[in-house]
Amino acid sequence: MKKKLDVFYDFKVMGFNAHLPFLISLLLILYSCLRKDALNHIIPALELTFPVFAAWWSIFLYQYILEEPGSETVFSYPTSRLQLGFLRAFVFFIFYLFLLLAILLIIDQLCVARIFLPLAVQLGSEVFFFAGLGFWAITMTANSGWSLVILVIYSSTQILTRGVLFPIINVFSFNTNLLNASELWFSSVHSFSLGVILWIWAQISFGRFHKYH
Amino acid sequence: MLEIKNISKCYGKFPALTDVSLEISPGMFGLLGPNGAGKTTLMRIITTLLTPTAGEISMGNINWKKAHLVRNMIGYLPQKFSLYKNITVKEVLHHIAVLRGFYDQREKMVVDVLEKVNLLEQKDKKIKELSGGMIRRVGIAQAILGDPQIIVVDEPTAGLDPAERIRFRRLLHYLSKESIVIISTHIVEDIAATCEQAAILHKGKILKKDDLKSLSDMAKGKVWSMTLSTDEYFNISKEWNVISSQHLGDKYNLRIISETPPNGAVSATPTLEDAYLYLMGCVSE
Repeated sequence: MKKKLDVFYDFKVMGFNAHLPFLISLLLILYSCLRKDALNHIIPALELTFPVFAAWWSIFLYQYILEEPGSETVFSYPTSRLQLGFLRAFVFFIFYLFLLLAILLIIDQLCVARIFLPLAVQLGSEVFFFAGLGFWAITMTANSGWSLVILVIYSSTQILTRGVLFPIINVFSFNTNLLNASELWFSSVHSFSLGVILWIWAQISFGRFHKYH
Repeated sequence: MLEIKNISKCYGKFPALTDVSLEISPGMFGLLGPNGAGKTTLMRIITTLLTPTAGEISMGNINWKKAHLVRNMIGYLPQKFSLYKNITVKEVLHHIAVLRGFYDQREKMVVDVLEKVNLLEQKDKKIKELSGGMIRRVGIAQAILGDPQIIVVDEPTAGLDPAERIRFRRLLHYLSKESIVIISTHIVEDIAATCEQAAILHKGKILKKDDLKSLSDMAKGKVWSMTLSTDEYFNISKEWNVISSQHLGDKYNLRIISETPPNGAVSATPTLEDAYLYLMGCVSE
């Protein structure tokens, strides 16, 4: 397969939006170090912010392809929609996952010990869900602004109602301590399954996209 | 030879194209029609962005049903092209070369196209720093990366100043030496200045397809010229279909389309624009 993914370029095109997840990560590390002994504050802070921003790259990665005038040229190139769509978004999801692992490792080493593995599983599956949600939102709306609105509505309604509103689509655990093995298993399988639906739906929608500007 | 056979395209119940058939030889081909005629839909079908409801397109032994093969031989510049505003010209073209599958050759390829479109000096400028004409040239540069056999350009000179328009036409004409260049426009002058053949599209149907001379001859004996004073000009413009007027001192030189000559008018040699307006007048009656 010829090399058609250009990750460095994709980062550059996103401009400031590419850097925001790094900024959030720094703030979370800082917060965790300041609240060293308060795991019941650190876990909610991590869960309610970091996974949500997994949608950020998924949305802004497609801003130019789906939103800008003349973006139809991209679809006229001999690059498959699978490569343009799912593969690019998935590569950025993997990067985000590495970012999560890095943050957890730093917090684990510097602030609170033994959080790495359980939070990596819990937040990793939520990151997968939110990266899929971002990809789904941008392919459905072809507009980064509306995609962010979807993201904000989903997150705020779930957080404000503690997951009571539409519990079937809620991925937040709202835990203040580390989940035990069975809770972790249930919550991560649930988030991952919802994520799979979003990723597949998004790619189908991207494959059929022809509302060119 | 690019063969377009009985192409139709419907958006729901709305027929955007109806039974369009064209044979396009190497060189420049113009697709002329008013806004909403279906030109962009046809361009998008040729570039595989849309699939037709019926009909087929082929070139040699390549059928448009195999879109992945077609995309290797097509370059496309849409009407609006202003992608990647915060990135430099060179970076944009490098990226597009990668998407087109030329990862290893991209350095040389980008320099070559920048030379062709005369943008080598602007290669390190960001897209947002370029003029409208320069952005169009970046657009054509991305379309010709890899020397595609077919170059499709939608409304190539829209929004350009007269000098850029002439420069852009010259560039397209140069490219047609080695490729089929299809331009779609409602600006008759663009086609008259560059194309050997053209088709006129109206409400999704091809009204006429021929070489420019034959198209112009459709209005033979229907175009009249006369010189009048200002007062006479305002009177006659109410009664006749005046298609152009030129102010010459205290008089006006008029061109009129009519089946019968106005009093004092002499027959004029029809241009492509006269023929286009005549045809549009006929179909709207």
